[in-house]
Amino acid sequence: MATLGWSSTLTGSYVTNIGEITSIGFSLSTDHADTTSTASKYAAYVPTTIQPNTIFVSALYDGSSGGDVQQFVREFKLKRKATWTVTFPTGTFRCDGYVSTVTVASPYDSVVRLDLVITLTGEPLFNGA
Amino acid sequence: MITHDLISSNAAQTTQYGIQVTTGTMVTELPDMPGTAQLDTAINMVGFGIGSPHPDFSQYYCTDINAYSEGPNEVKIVYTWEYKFPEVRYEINSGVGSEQTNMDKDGLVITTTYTYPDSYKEQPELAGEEYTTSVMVDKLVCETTLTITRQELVTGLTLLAYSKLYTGKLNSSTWGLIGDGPRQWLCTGISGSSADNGVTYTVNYNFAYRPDKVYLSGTYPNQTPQWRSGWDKEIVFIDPRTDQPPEDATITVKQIYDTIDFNNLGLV
Repeated sequence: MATLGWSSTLTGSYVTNIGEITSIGFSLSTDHADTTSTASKYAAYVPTTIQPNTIFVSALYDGSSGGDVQQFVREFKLKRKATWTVTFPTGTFRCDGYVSTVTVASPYDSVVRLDLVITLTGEPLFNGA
Repeated sequence: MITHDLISSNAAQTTQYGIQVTTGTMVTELPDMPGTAQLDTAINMVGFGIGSPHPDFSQYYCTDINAYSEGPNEVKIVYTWEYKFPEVRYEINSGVGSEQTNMDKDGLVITTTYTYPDSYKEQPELAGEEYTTSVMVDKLVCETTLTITRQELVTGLTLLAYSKLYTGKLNSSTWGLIGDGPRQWLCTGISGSSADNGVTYTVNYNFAYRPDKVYLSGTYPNQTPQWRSGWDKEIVFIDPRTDQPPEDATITVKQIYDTIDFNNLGLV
């Protein structure tokens, strides 16, 4: 049975109390080397460097002066590396990273929405995966 | 694991000087080790070095090796192979040697006749006698020399072996720029030097030419004209009393130089 992510949370070294999260996740990928040779008509690759990629988060602005938007804009401007932890219902994902994108949308007749991207660096750690 | 001939790296370029080919090889599944050591390990695993012949085209030789880290355990190596068009230079000169002979240009024995006067008293038995003798004369021998220079993919040891094998020998069969007959060209030296750490050598082949000469074979006076190599030597008896050969001395021709087929050098 599928697991709902409603209890998932995000914490950072310098960012706490991120509330009203509506979506959170991370992505991983790997680079590859092209080993296609003249001996074959088909392309061939081997995996090389693992890319930790990003943590992506969507949250709702809580309206406070020290809330989510202010915290992430501050981290964005400081370009400060932090350790980020995503806690899922069944495990955690932890990796160092930088806030690389902060997007704030303020619909006229709806909630203020915060989307951010944390670009990760180094080896990610999994617990429970 | 080694994969040769990567499509992403295969390329060729032809210029007026030759053909340059690049090929790529990917080495994967390398053990974890510091980067430089990994590059070195990958190069050693493949085994090609500077000067190595191309595995499929032996006239191409490796001139450059570039290795790149493609991942933590993957190294890509790009090899440059070159084939240089044979650049051959011909240098033609002439020189002068000398030899002694008692024959003229037609192979006839040079003689001189003297009639002792009747009053000759030092050896009275010769008085009034006609005496004919041959004489030895110095002869300048003009030689055409040929130097052929070309760059070769050859090792120093092979070049040394060539030099020892051919130097001092005559061509055993028709050879030369205009197809000269056997035993007309003498190899006077093969030398070379390398400006690229022994990968290629600029080799000089030196030859000297003497045309065939005529001489009279048989016993005087029943002699017939014969042709001999200009490098052969005429042997004639020298009368110790006169220091000249008698007019009827038989001339013997001896081959002094050994022969070898110059065509095996692939020069002309």
